[in-house]
Parts: sequence; C-alpha cells; structure tokens
Amino acid sequence: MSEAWHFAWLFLSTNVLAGMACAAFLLGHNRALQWPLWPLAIVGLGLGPFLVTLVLFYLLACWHGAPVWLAITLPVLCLLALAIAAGSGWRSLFALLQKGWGLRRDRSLWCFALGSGALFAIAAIFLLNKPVTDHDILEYGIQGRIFLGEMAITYGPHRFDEASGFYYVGLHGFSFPLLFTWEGLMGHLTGVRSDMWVRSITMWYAWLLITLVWWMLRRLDRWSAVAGAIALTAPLGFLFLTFLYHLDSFRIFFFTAAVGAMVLLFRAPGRTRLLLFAFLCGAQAFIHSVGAILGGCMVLVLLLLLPAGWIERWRYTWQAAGVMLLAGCIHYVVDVFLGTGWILQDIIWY
Amino acid sequence: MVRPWHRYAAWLALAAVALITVVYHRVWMPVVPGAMDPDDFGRGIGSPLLLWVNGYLGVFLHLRYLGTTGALAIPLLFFGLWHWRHLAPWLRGLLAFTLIAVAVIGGFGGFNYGYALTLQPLLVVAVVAAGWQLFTGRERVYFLASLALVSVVNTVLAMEHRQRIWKASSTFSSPDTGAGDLRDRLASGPEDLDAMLRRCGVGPRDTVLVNNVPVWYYDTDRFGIYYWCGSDQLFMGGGKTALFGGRTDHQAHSYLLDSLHCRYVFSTVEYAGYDARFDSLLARDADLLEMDKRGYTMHRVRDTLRH
Repeated sequence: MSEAWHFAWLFLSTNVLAGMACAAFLLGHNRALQWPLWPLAIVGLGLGPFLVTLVLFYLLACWHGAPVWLAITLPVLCLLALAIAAGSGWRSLFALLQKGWGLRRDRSLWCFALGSGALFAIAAIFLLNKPVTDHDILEYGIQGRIFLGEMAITYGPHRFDEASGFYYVGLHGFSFPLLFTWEGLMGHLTGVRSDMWVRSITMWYAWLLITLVWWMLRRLDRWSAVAGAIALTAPLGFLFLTFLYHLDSFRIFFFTAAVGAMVLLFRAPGRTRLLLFAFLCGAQAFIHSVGAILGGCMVLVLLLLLPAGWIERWRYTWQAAGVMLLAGCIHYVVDVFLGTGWILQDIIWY
Repeated sequence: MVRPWHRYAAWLALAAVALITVVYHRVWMPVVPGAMDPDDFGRGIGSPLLLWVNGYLGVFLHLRYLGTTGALAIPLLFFGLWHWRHLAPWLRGLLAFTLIAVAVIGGFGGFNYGYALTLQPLLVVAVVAAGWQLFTGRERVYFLASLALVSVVNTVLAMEHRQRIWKASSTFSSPDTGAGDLRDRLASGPEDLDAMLRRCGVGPRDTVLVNNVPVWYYDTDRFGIYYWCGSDQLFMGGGKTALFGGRTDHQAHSYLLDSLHCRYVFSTVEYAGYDARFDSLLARDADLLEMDKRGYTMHRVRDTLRH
C-alpha cells in the first residue's frame, strides 16, 4: 500500500467514520442534551481521533506489553459500541447532512466552501512538502513511537528511553503523542511507515474549529458567520496554527467546545449536559497542560456561579471532576504522584 | 437595553483599535533588537511596554499574530463587569471564566502566540455577537464588515513588519521571507541526516551529544545524549545534570570525552549560540566536520591530550 492510500484509509476510518459514530451518538442523546444540532455534530466529529487516543492510553497504561492486535481492535470495538448505541442518532445525522446539502444555494455558504477548499489545497501542499522538523512535534512524535515500540505507558521520575537516550521534556497529556502511536499501529496493517495522517491532524482540527465558530455565529445571522470567520482566520497566528504541525488546533477546538458546553450548562443545568461539558473539559486537558489548568478554572466557575443551590453545585462539581479525570485528567494526577511531578518540577522554558 | 451611546462607543472602540493597530506595527514593534535581549526581542517582549502588550495582555493585543477582534473584547469585558448585577447567570459565568483565563494565559506566557490564540475563537464569537445585538439594519452590516476589514488590515501590517525585520536582519528565516523553492522554504530539518553521518564518519555505535535537536531521535535509530546548552542540562537516565556547571572548560571537555564517551556533537548554529561556553567549546575543542545549508552542524570533539 502506498503512503497516499495509508493516509486515505486512516483519514476515512479515524476522522470520518469514528467521528460520525461519535456525532451520531451525541445526536442520539440530544433529547436530554438540547444542544443546537450543527455544533453538536461538529463536536462529535472531532471526538473520533481523541477517543482512539483515550482508549489507547488506558490500554497501554494498564497492560504493559499489550498485543498489537488488541491495541488496534479495542478502539474499533469501543467506537463500534458507540455507533450501535447511537440508535436514532444516525437518522438525525443523515437528516442534518441532507439539510446541509439543501443549503447549497445559500451564498454565505459559498464563502465557507471557498475558504474550506483553499484550506484543504494549502494543507495538501504542506503535507506533500513539509516533513516533521519542528521541536515540539518531534518530541511528541518520538514519545508516541516509544509507546508504540514498548506497547506500554509507564510513569517514573524521568521519562528516559534507554535505547535511544531520548528524554521527553514535555509536560502535557499523552493524547497527541498517542496519535503517532495510532498511526504506527495502523502501519502494521498497511505496511507503511508514515506520519502524514498525524501531520494532517493540525489542519483537520483547525478546519473543525472554523466550522464550529461558523455555526455558532450562523445562529445569529449567516453574514455574521462570514464576518466572524474572516476575523478569526485572517491573523498570521491563525495561519500558523492551521498549517504548522502542532497540537494547538487540536487543543483549542476542544477548549472552545468545552466553553460552549459550559455556557449551555449554565443556561439549563442538567446531568447529561454536565457529562458532555466535563468530558470535553477532560479532552482538552488530556491534550495540553494549559487545558488542564483552564479546565480546573471552568469547574471552579461552575462551583461558584452555577444558578443552583450550594448542595446541587457541589454535586455538579464533584461529578464534573470525576468525568474529567476519566477523560484524561487522571494522567496529571498519576504524573504528580508517581511520575515527573508535572508542573511541580523545575520547568525549562524554551 | 441598547442605548444610542452604546453604538457610538462601539464605533469609537473599533476606530481606536484600528489606530492602535497602526501604532503597534509602525511605532511600538521594533525591527532590530538594539539593546534588547535577543530572546525577548524574538518573543516581542523586549521592553516594559511590549511585555504588557504582547505578554500579560497578549490574549487581546499580540497583534503581530492575533487579530484585532480580541482587542475589542477589552471594552466588552469592562462593560460586562460594570453591569455585573444585571447579567444573566450564563453571562456572569462566561465573563468570570474569561477573566480568569486571561490571567492564567497572560501569566504563563501570553507572548506565545499558540497560548494567546486559545481564547480567540471565544472572543471573536463574543465580539461579533455583541455587535450583532447592538446594531440593526445597514449599520449592523457596516459594523461587522468593518470588524473583518480591520482584522485584514492588521494582517497586512503584520506581514509588512515581518518583511522589514527580514530586510534588517540577515539571519531572520521564515517560509514567507526565505529563499529557495517551496520545499526548501517549508522544511527546516537537516537536508539529509544519514548522508551527513556517512560523510562525517560517525559510526552506528559512536555516542553523539545532541544539542536540543530531537530530529536526531526521529530520523535515526542511533543513540544520542540529549543536551540543551541554553539551560546547561544533560538529560540522563538518572535525571538532569550539568555539563559546564561546577566545572572549568577543560574539565567539561574531559567529562564529555572520558565520562560520557561523546566524540561528536550534533547541533545547529543558532542553538549553539544560546550559551557562550558551549559555543566556545565547539570552537576551541572540536572540529567542525560539516554544516548543511539549514545550519545543522556536526563537530568532532578533539582529544584532551592536545591540552
């Protein structure tokens, strides 16, 4: 199999199919969630690759030396379970896609289509011409490949690899390195050693982020969405965020989704909304330490300002904290007590 | 309740941000480091004013990387605080969280555009939604279009500022200002690491000191001792230790050869320049075997007997 087919297979299976399974699952539970449909579907689409890394994390952390076939099968089985549990969510998802197709005469959406086309064209140029060479993503990539080689995630005071002499100085959750592990695992099936899919993650989540903001603003008015999208994407920093391989777009997508979920939780507190909010909070925390700190701040705001009685607020806070831990924050707890000490160690700023 | 002066204030705020954009790029942002620390110059925080603008308030005002819409969130946040008692609970929660997040990101490193961008989608949605609420009819169209236009003008000014830095500094390197074909401009790694190792005669079992260039571990299966001269830290199995700290230059040279058994140093010209002692060790006690056109270097450490 060529690298292009390997990439297409990973993109289709992990971004599209796994993402659609998550989107359908969330839409299937929207009677309780009461989220606006498009943002919910977009968040679901983004959850596909993240869930794969979360399942891999638990597998490799709990079973050192787990067999490769299991590491490939387990995420697939989990996503299959979500797809089955989605039930009527699939009907909602296809109805939504059909509705989206019906909007093709809307001229404001032409701007979106044009912008998306430009983004994917430039993304292709980058993927074909720019290898992984920048410091941070190299660190994540090497760590991800070490997980792949050892089929284990272990915790200790120093993240040192005896075989190569590599010392991982990163402080953040393992979601992004585990994307490299997943691509490596898929390489066992396709016979291709590549990192093209992980490199494309930067652009994919930047596009999802733009799409999320677009549909948030489109609820006001379609041309507000155009103005907002231009204001968001015009700056140089956003250009770098979109095309220079890094985890920032991955992290900011889930952060923005978590803030949106927090707003919806404040507007109508409920258990299901709390679960989704906490899961998204945990997701952005598992990707980056800043997300872990900001996630903690969101839960604090919940405790102090949620329009509910004190006992109810405490209950919400504990539940949110529990779900956040399960969604990846547990990495930081383990790292503080059994590992490197996370941000409590002597940090080097590059 | 929207009052007419709210709309005037919104236009005034937009005009002020447009003016600040011009002053920021043309007056405040330096083109050469001058007396500034080169690192701080690179981060855009080389003076007390810039430390505030691009650092602590970087979430709003780091305009060389961020848009202008975030800057417009400043009056919006003040407006929200002023009307705190009348805000809906969800707006209070959002406002409180935004202020905490601004403090956290500003405190941890607002100068890092990646961190500063964290709140941008949220601020863009907030500012556009506020503009949409304030205005009606044609004025709404004009305001939102002006918002987008000012953001585009800011980007043009930011690119022009990068061009001026590039013209003033021979070492400034970026895909938008560099020379060569597209592939050359986009790739910043070593041209061909394997070929470099062959030409330099570095054997598969030779130990190499790797000065903060992780591409070594990504592209080869060879062993390397990870080091960062900027903080003088050797990253070993037992933790972090110093190469130079507590040692004379001669002792550091001996330690490198006799204790670490390191005969080669893989670095870049730029990274080696982060520490004068490391740089002078390479100049005095090592021979430059090769430097590729992207600045990656391979040195062979001389034998200590020559001293």
